[in-house]
Amino acid sequence: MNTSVEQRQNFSVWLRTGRWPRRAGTRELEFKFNPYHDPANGQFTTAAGSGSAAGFTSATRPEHPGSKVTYVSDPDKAPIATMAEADAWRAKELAEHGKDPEYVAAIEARYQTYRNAFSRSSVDGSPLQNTFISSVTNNGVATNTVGGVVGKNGGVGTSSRAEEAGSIAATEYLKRISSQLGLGPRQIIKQMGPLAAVEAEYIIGRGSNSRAFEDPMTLEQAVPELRNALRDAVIAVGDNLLDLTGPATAFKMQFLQDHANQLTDQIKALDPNWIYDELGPIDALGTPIITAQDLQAKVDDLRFQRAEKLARLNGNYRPLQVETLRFVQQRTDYAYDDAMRLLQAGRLTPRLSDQEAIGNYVDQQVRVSLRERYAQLNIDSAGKGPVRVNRREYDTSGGGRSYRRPDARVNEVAYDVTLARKTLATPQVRGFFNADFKPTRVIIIRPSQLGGEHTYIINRPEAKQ
Amino acid sequence: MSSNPNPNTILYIPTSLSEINDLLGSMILQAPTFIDRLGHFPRQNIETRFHQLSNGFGAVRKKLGEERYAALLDRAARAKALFAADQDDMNGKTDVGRALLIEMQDLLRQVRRNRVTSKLPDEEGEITGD
Repeated sequence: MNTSVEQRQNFSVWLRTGRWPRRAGTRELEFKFNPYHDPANGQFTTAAGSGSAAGFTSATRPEHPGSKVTYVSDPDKAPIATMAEADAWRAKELAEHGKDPEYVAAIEARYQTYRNAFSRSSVDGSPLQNTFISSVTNNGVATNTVGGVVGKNGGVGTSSRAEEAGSIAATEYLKRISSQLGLGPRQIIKQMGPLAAVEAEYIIGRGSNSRAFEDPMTLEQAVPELRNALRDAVIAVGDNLLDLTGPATAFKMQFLQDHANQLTDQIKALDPNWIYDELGPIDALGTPIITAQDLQAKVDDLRFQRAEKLARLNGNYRPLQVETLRFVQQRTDYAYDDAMRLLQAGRLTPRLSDQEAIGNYVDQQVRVSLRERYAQLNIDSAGKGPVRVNRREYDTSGGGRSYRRPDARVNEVAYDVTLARKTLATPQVRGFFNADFKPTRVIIIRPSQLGGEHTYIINRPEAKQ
Repeated sequence: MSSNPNPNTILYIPTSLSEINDLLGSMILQAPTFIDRLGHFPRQNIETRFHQLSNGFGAVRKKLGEERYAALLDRAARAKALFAADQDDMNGKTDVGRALLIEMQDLLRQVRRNRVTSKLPDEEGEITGD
């Protein structure tokens, strides 16, 4: 049956690959499926440890007779979460394939993994948490570097290297434990608390190539080329960060609605007191009028709110860095459109050059919008915290005290909205990197109407010897 | 600083001369309706925008001095009336209102210049004109 969930998933695969997925369960077709990927860059990788991953899917019969039937995981289906579900799955598979000995053997082998998983117990009644923590320790990764996943506060380590190492180790570990226990990463992490669940989602990438691109929660996920980029590299930000593209509006709206629901669940898990204050147009009967643009705005809003929660509760500013980039790009494009429209209509009378006037108006509009956005979430962008809009960032390295004013700063990332291309050769950009807060990245945001690689990220350059 | 359990309800009020200047620049682009077409701020309209502006003037009243404060409030009221009378941007009143917004920016620029000349510090103790 082609459910709406299945439609959403199929659409997601179509967006990513350009091919509409074939329906599972047809014996004459062989699926090649690899559920493992590096969530940082979306590239396929091999499974660590056991070959079978979490969850379940329809079985595949290999092309050549005599070869074994193997159940492989399908992350597009809900993983088995309880023994009762495992029993139901076994009964269903046996009813369909019980006359084929190869299938029966595969079914029983898979069922045994579920029995092993659900029979484990621990001192505190959380069967997986202790297993996870002890295994992490045994793997030689310090607990605090993966503390973002298992720790009480769910916080990721503050050191970027430890964070990266911890994230990589956590990724590999979660893949292994998913495989061994026959459970999806979300199911595992759910038992470890809401903060860990949300954090782990971006570490694992939910086992699907498409998800890392659909809902990036770090700049590296939003711009995969950053992952292995050299210092002082300049990396373009793709337009896919802003919105889904492609036709099939009905699917897109369903996809966005599903995503909105998922984000709502995540935020409520982080903050049970949270209320979503939704305000939108209604028709004469009071029924909400929902357009694709409305849904996209809602998803963007929920992502921003989720990012605020993670920053506030977890000290993890990386999702906020992504959402700030997304928001600032949208506002930049919007302001540029309005300014150009007025200029071309002769309704703006610049005192200096047209470019300078346009640039000033765009800057002002973007700064106001960002201050308003942060204010809605109770983020003080005029204070001394790590989230600031157009504040002085001092450089005391040379003995004196100079400053620069990036348009925005989120922790160790600086943002500059401009019409002109700026590079490391630009004194302003060098000044940003010299500031005391030592940004790791400077993001140059230009209107997308200018085309080409309008927006790009400059990595911190190597220190001169 | 606690999380707001009911976000999207807080209205930002500028509290420095430079922030008010940014708000005026934004309003120049968004006149006469001030509706946010992107949907980020669904409650934003002519009423909320001028509420933010006049409250912003109130926040820096001492820095403005009473004469300039009154002059700015007067221009704000006139601009609002002009925009309200030309919501479809068809009768030319929007352009007149926009010119008043630019005049307000000019007034603020004078204030900031004077503060720099007089070496008056901002809230962070710096001579920025704020």
